[in-house]
Amino acid sequence: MQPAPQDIAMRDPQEVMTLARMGSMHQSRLSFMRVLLRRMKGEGWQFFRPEWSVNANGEGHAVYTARASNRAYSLVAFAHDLPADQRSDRVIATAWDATFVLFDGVPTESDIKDLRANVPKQEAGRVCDRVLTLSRANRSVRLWDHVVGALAKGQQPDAAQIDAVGYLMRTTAVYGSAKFGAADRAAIENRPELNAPFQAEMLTVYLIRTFVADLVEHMARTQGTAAARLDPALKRRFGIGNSTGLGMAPFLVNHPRLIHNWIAAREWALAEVRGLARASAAEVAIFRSFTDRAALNAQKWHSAHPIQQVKLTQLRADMAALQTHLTTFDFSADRPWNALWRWAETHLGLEGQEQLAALLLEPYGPLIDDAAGCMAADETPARIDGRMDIDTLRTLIERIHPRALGTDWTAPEACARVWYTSAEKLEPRLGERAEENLDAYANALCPAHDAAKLYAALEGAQGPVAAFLLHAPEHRHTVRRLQLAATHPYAEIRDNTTHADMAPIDLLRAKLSFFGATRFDPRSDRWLRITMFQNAPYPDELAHADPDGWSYPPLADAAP
Amino acid sequence: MTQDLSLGELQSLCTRAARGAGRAVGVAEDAGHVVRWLTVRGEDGAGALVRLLTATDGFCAGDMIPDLPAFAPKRQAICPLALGGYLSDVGDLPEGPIGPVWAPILLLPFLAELAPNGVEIAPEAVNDPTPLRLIRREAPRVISQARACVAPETFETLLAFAARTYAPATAQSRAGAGAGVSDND
Repeated sequence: MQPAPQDIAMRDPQEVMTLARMGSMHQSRLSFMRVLLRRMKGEGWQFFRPEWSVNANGEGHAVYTARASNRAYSLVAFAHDLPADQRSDRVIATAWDATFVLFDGVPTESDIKDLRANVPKQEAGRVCDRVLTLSRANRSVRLWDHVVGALAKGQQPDAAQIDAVGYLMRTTAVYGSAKFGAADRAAIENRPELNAPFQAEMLTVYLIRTFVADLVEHMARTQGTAAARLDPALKRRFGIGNSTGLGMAPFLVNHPRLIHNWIAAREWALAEVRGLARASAAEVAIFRSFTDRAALNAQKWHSAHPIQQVKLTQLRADMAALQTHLTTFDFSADRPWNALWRWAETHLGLEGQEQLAALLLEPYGPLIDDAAGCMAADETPARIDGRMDIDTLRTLIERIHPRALGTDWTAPEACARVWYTSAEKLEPRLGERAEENLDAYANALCPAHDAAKLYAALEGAQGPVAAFLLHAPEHRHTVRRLQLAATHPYAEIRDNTTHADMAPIDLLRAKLSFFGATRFDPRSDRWLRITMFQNAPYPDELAHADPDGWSYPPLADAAP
Repeated sequence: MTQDLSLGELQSLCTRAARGAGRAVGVAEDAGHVVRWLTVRGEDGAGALVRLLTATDGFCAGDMIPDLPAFAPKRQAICPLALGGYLSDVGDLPEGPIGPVWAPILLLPFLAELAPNGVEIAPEAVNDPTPLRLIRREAPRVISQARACVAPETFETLLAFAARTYAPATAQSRAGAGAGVSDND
């Protein structure tokens, strides 16, 4: 039995909430995929496939039902025979290989008829409040054809080809929370199994993974009677891919209370582990094993993009340095994890530090897993405290945004970018201020700049904030954010999100690491591909599997 | 045919519409929130917002704020988003008559926390804009709706205001946000 952790301060938000560090975050025990699998395993959820109606061309539908203790949720999948020239990962696409909803309960024939009329259209359709998520996916064409071809001949696909891609299909959007008529978060947030963030979305992707594995075997069977089934060990190597672009970036700015709760949960967990007076042999063994697997993950993680290649080189070097350091590290010292962390702060880069932050949590589920229950947020806007004195507000800006106050906002590079929404399918986009006339459409997605503007506007002002805001409503959203950040220190990104060198993929990676994504593979500075649920047990394996142990590749996958 | 919307959809549409009608970001955020608050309590918040945005389209923000301490209009009438926001910030209810105020029902969500059971407008507004008093309710308003039913003309007007915030599609803007044309790898 461990004594209670000693008091270690959580990391300074000025250090954590930078784009460089957010763009180096890794999945952890508190990631939403792992939270979901722990719950499903712990509660003994059961999984069924009540419907499978797919023809030889791969067209039709299927239903997968996950039965929790007192409710059921069903993935309704529609499979399409998509011409290759229509396969696009963009929001502005209009057709996909497969389209899905997560349905609240078990759909009737009439429900499925309604869904079939709308779900394949995605954003152009409407869904009802029994729908919790709406999503779509496209095949990874080369791998799909290889796997179907091999299975049809009665053979197994090539492991190296599977590893090179990592998924048979990639989703290009998973919409939840009220989009296109779907159920509001408020309708489901009080259900224990959906209270943690993004649980409906993660369940959707988890069930999509099963559907895709079934579909690839089905397509092989339509080509030959001697078709093989996927070897379970190979099958587990398939995750679900995801293409994510700019659409996700504004989320990090638009949900400050939620982001605070995510980061604060993880930072609290890290501080708890660092505060432990000692580490048992079993805990050290778990940590060493996960460290070796994370090092293997860094070796197997590939990217064609220069930005990520540099980061991967750094991560691999960091992991090698960590492994070397662990050969002589004295775990019997007082507060060993804190000592290791302090070493990492001066010897590892951001990738390695953030990887270590995730690894330190691995042995300590009983200590830190409950923090997942604090990651949801009531996002009803709080009342502005209009009685706050302007001097206090000024001090608040100085405390939260010192970098913004030291920035020359008249420099072209400081405001080089404009976040805006396109009339085209309302796709969020990022433009170059100097090249396009977009200022009239700019979305307020640079809190640092807004804080600096407010600070300048407060010059010479006195008295309560309310009177100031009545005459200067353009600062209202900024005051609301600052007052939230006063008590929610991780709510606010401290960097300039309109700088010429800002890479939106840093924002995407922060969010996706909390989902539990791996193998971040940027294709530009503004969109990337990831893998979800790679190596995870399938529903029919979950009862006998470790719901956390899949998160890094098994050491058996190491090249001989 | 009324439009069935989720509350989140309506809230974000109203936020966008208020922004498209020229309201500041924080005021537009309030607009989305107050419409949702009214909707779940069975009131036509979306209709009230459309009345306000239509009546004040093109007005300067400074012309729609109240003159203090009398809470009289600077020009024709007071914007309930500006007035409601101010009263909410200050945390006090004015005792005397105020206004006239456009679409005064939009004040109610701002003032819900300023009295134990919330606030009521007296007299119940018939004309718009209208002078009024704010009185404390004896019983709170009950939440009765989990979805929004919006009249088609209200919905169309909200869409039209929201559309002002969307940048026209250009080839340049279309480039670079994703893989582009082909996803066949």
